[in-house]
Amino acid sequence: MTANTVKQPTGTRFLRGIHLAALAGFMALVIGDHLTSPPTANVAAPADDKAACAPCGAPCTLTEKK
Amino acid sequence: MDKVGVATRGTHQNRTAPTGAAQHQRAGVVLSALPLGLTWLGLAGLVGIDTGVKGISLFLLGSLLGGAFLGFQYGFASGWRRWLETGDGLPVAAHFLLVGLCMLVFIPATHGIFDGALFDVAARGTIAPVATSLVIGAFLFGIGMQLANGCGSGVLFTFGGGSGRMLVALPFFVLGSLLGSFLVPTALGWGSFGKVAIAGDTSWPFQLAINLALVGLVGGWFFWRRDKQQATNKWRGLVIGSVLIAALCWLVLLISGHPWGVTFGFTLWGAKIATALSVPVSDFAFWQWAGPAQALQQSVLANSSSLMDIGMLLGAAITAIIGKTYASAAWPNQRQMLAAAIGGLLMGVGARLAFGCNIGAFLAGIASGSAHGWLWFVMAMLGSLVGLKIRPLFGFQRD
Repeated sequence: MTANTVKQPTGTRFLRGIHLAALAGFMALVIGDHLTSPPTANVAAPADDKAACAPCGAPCTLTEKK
Repeated sequence: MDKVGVATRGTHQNRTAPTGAAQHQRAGVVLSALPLGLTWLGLAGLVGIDTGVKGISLFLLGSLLGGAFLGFQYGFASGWRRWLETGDGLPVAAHFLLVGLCMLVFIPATHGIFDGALFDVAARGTIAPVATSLVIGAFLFGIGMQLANGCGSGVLFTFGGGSGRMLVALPFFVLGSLLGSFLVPTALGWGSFGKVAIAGDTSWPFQLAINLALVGLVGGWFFWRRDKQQATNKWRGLVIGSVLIAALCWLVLLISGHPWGVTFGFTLWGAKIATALSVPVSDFAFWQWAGPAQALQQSVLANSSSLMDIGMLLGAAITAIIGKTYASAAWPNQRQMLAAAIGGLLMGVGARLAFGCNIGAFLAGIASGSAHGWLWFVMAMLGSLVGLKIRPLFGFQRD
């Protein structure tokens, strides 16, 4: 390391390693899930359902006035 | 919001480093960014095979949003904290600028004006019920976002940028979101006024004008309450960030058919992991509703929120590595890690009870002319106020 090299805060190399490992593990899970799931031709959201009255897909029968 | 990489960005030392060290740094950036870039391309390929151009477009938009949020350090939690602690309303004014810009497309779209504009999609805004669960959920979310130092989008892009705090907050957000999904069907029985669209029975130009006036009034008030000594420098970045993010949000709406949402993706990830651990997730009422049930059966890349979240993570990570800010801040102490865990959990539960986070409920709700977005804003701001009172217990100091 030269004197002009930017000094990193303590533990950042460790943090970087942990982070990249976590990201790699997460991406492996994503790819694993994708490859074991049935194929679909559309990107969907719960709100796309006609019976949904909330972004999470809650049916209108539950969300109407009470 | 965590400030990732403040420690190394643009220092004088950086600019005057000798050629050898600079080359070494450049090589390091390329070596770090390359695997992430290849991962991005691999995922884009998988998405493209199944869902074609629409899927790739949303993945790309998520990535660009991750880069934009990180690049502009566009934080909701930190902006609201600044308002509550110092009385500087500038960041909150910028958030309302973003809402107003999104509204220009969201309200006409809800009236069918842009039907079929892209991918033969009938785009609609987010109108959700004004319910008791929303009041409780948004309040919990507000507390959580101050304890975790980030909101829905903030946790995601700072995690991507290499924040140690978010390494803890995100898994707890996912867990809380799953727990929230178990609670929602019961919570919806606590009372509701149903969906309320502000001036929703009028023509779209009139509804847009009324809602823009409301946003202008509130946003203008926050702008008037800005810290005038610091405003000039900050305002430019906030305006550019708001315009860029709004343009990306328009595209998300027109391509996916609904506004950008962050937290359903977290709920889905939690449900997938729990299912893999033999938890009978699909037996719970929430996961028997048509939309969530379908999402649980399909790939995490086939749900728009989850897909864009993954894009946002990667987009932020690649941006941080290129900007040499990736994971450059030190680890927070144990008390702050505990705060991140509690904050993540509260945000997860809160987001499910409140029909979304600062993006899906506040931004999308108000921009679509829905009263629930305004109620979310008020309750989350009150929750933030409580969160600020709790922060010193975890060793946080005022910004």
